[in-house]
Amino acid sequence: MSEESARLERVANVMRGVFALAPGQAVTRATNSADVDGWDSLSHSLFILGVEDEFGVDLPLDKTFELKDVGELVDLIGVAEPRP
Amino acid sequence: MSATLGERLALHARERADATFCTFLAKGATETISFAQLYDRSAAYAAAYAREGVRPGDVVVVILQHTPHLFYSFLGAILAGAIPTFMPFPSPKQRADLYLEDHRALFARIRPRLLVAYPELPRFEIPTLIASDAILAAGECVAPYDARPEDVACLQHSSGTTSLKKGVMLAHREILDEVAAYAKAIAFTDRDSIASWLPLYHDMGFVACFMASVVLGTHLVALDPFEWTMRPTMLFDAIQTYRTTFTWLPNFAFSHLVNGSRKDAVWDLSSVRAFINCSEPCKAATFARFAERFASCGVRPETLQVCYAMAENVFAVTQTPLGRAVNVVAADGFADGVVSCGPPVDGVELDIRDGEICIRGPFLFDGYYLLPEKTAQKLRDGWYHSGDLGFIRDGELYVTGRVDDMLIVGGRNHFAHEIEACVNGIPGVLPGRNVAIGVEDRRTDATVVVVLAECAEDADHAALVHAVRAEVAARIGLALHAVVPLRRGEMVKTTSGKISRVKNRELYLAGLLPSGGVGR
Repeated sequence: MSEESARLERVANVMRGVFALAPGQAVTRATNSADVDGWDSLSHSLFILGVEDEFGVDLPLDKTFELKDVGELVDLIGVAEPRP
Repeated sequence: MSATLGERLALHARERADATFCTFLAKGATETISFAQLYDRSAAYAAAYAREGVRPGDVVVVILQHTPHLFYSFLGAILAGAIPTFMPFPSPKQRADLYLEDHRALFARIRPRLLVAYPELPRFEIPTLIASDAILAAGECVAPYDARPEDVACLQHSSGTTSLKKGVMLAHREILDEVAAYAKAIAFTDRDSIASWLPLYHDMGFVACFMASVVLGTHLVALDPFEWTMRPTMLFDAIQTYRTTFTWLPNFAFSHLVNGSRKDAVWDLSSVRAFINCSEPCKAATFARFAERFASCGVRPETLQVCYAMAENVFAVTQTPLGRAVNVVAADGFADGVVSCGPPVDGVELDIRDGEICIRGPFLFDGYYLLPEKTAQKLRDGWYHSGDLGFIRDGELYVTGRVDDMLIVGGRNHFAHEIEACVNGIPGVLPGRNVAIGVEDRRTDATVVVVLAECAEDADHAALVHAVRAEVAARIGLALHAVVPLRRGEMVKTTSGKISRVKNRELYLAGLLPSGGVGR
């Protein structure tokens, strides 16, 4: 498994917890808020908080507003500095 | 004592010139604005309005993101004798063409003389002034307009679909008197201060935070609503740093602070005299969770209070008494009881007519701007008919629901029929056979909207769900929680043949809609 697909799988696990995804609901790089029940601005922030804790990073606030899909989040995590 | 907002602004600029009006927090930076600066910069806007040909009585619409120019442009219009009004900017998913289309009908009615905007706002066909620091640097001044206390100072626009927005007309005297009466109800003194992330186009952010600070000459710590949504505990950082004493929040925000705080995080919130729950129905369970989670930070049950407010009464109608925990009473249909909103603010009278809360008092609005028929519907014999249902017990008000189909989502009002109309035209959705219902999201404790839609047999459900979400987001700026495609005839009708929102909501929540729709 590549580093990127491992990151995607960990992000998908956070999503399963935050959004209570239906069993078998796939998460891909193209998955976005229109695909997921309950993905609104409030739950988005809880999702980002969960991702930050999972990866031990702090993501830049302005970038987390603008994410278009899961793929962009996976890429953002890839370039984030670990928490001190 | 000063009798208009302009006079009050000038008074603070003279007598409290160097005192801090606002600590403005945005994008990691902090800007401090004194009362003298607030006046001078507002006066600079008044001069800019004069150059743009704005005359007393003209409407000036302010559509700005989080910037101190919100304050200056609004108060500048007051100094110029114009009638300012804040309106929300488009949400990131709202389509520019639909945003413009939606506002055109409203602007055709209220005919703003000028729009104050940020550079990226979609352009309207009305004169537009782009907010910038260059306006403040112009150094030109005009004499403030000599307004009368009974003159309309500003309009507060109700939320919901833009073209149906009603501009609540508020006179200088009504705003000054309401702020004074409400300050008395919560024993707010010039040593108190406010921390707020609330947008100014909403009455809670506009009156309870911004106007109160302007009128009373007190300190406001202002956070960006978008940043707060992503990092809710930045409010606690601000309270801890600036030792503020009051914060107003809609119910969902209490839960967002609990859910959005890391388990081991602690703040010193002991300066807070009251967190006031307002603009959404307050839930006892939400208060209990908040008090438990932040007890170690200095939050006590008696610091959690409730206000019932509306733009038509400037702001506060009732307020729970500070210093003791709020009352909760048992009522049919409310498993956790109903939380008190407290007794009326001084001068305000309440009456319950056929279950509806009606209000009379000295700060009641003058009517809806250029909407005499709407005004006559809601304001009858001096009583405002609120559309809220409730009862009074031992002198305190309890709110139980709505007369109409209004849904309060994230502190903003949406009407179910507007959402349904938006869904109706989508290919695959059977016309007139969808309902928008409000349900509680157990994870966020927020009211969210679910659309139940009967669909054509050959409809592609996944594509339809996408299309419905996209259309509602683009037109109304509302993120639907779920879209549930159903087969023709699955939903229950009322005796008059309409699809019943109430019955189908019950079926959805019980998981009893035949082709799916698992309630949350």
